[in-house]
Amino acid sequence: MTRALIRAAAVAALLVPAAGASAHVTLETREAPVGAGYKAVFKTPHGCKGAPTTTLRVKIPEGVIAVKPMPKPGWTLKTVKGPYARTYDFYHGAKLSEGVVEVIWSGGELPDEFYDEFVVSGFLAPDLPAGEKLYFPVVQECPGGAAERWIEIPQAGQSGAELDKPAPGVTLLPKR
Amino acid sequence: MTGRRRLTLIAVAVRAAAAFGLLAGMIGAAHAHAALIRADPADGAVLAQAPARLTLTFNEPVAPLALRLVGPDGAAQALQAQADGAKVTIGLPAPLAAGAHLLSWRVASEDGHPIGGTTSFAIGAGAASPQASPTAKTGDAALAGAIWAARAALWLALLFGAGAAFARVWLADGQGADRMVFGLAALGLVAAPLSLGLQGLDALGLPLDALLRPEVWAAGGATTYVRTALLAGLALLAAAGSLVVRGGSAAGLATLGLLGVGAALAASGHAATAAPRWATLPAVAAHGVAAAVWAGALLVLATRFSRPALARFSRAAPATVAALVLAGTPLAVIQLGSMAALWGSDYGRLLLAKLGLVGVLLALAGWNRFRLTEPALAGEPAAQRRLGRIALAEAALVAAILGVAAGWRFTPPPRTFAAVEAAPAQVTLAASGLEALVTVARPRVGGSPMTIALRKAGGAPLDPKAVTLVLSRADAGLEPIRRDAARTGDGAWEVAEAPLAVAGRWRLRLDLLIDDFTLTRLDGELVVAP
Repeated sequence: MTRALIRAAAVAALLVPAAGASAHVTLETREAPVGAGYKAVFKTPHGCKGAPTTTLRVKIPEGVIAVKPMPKPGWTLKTVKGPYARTYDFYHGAKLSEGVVEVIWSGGELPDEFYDEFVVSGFLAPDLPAGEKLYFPVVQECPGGAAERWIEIPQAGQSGAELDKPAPGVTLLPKR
Repeated sequence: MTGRRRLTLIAVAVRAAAAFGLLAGMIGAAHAHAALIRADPADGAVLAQAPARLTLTFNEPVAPLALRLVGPDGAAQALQAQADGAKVTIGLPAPLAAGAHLLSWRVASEDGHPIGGTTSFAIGAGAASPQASPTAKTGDAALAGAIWAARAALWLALLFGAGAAFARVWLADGQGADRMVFGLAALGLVAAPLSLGLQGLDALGLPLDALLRPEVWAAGGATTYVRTALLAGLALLAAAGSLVVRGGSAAGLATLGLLGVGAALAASGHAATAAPRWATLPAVAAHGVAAAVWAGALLVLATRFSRPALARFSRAAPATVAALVLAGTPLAVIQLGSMAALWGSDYGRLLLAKLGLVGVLLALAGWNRFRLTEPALAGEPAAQRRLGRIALAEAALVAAILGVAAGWRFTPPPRTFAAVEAAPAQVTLAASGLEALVTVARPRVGGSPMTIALRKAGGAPLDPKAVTLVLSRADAGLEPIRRDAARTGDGAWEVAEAPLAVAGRWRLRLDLLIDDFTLTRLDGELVVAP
């Protein structure tokens, strides 16, 4: 047990600065194997230029199925459902051809000087390409129609470091 | 495991978890970038009177890093700022000229990460100050003088040094003129990097005393002039090298140095970049090589007269002059664009001055060729002495001509004005199956309305939710300028006034918000005329 704790602390020490080095809306877990469940924690350190965040919308990328967002006290949770591009195999021989494509927390208030996390649980389809990055575009909406859109996805050959408002992403690992 | 031991472990676990949570929270909060909330005067404001100060308000405390004000004449100056928490106050110099001003700002967020932007404001014509920033003008004059001197010195070294090294092999069997060639090569090897640094100062709009700052050299290195400086250095090394080796290698190196003169002159500058380049590029190179042959031969004849040398030179001289004129005339015609520009523009007046000097030079050369060459070849000492003196005078005239030509650095050729007056600029951007046609009504310094027509690659209409124009001139030290485009009635988008405050090559980017979650960027370039 002691050894496990030390290992966990070491992993945490390695992960935390890496996750914190970015200034944008980011995912807490930056790598995940395909063909397994994934808990997407959206770390939200920003408002809209000083204004509080009142709505957070997350676009679920193709290949992330069986999505269930976690409710938050003080926020109204809604999902938008739609068809998937194709049918996915899920546990126990189930076939999924539609599901949640967008998650919306609204009616809350997260002041610019505070930090919060928004959580979505889902399953990464086994045939998602390992080694590539999967992006979850996020829109932060603020009173008066202002919005911060973390939706920029680097093009082939781009590092992503030069983007102003990069979408949070997770690097896909091979199926375990 | 005993009960006590288990308790200790649980305590450690709880403490570790608490520390972890605290750490994660702290880092998450500490690494948020600052964002500009408000600028006063507001971005794009038109004011009746020049403001005394400009304030920028951020959402968190920041530390100012660099602030630069670019005036309507394109002159830039660095400003000082005072930060009070999240508020940065920048004292503006007085008097400020009427017209559009850009303030480029760069600050460090609390997390140390720098962010930047450019805000613009205009002072209405009615509020024009009587004297438009005289201090900026004097600073520019010193820099302009230095740029001119370095450039004239480089050309002098290049044409006379590489030319003399060639003429020495060609006319004087590889003898003499050693000290002169070495001296000129040394002058050129100092002037080449120096003029590159000055070019960097000019690009960033900094005064002379900033010459040693690394970003100045990086900016100089980013201009096309770096090719000229490099090739000039190589040509001079080859020329100097031809004095050290003997025989065939000396002739080879001297020829290489001579050709290097042409390559260096053709590698940058507005004559070599005029369309059609297939004609202007070789013309500039040929003009330079012919001038170097002539200049070098004059130097060798003036300092080391010999009858075989004079005989060889007088046979080749007409061809050299013909090459100079044949290569130079079309360049002048292309650059001028019209006869009236010959006396109606600074460029044309410099050309007239140069042609006047060339006329005197040709008269002296004719005198030498037709009156003195024959008696000198026949062995008359008086004619030989006079011929040498006149060759020296010719060399001095060539030096004066180079000085005049170096002045072209500051006068854009009339053809560029003509092109700008005639038509608004259009830039086509395309990426990800989308196309944008950006029309810039006045692609000149001072700002211009822009209209943006969008469509899909097949021609289908495209109706994004929002369009943002991002203009940047990183090489001029300007942070990106953002303008949200407004929808016009006919499905196009427009930006009422894009503040293009400095001439040169701007990077132009359109951010198209296709839907809430999809952003497409289109990139391009826009050339802004002075």
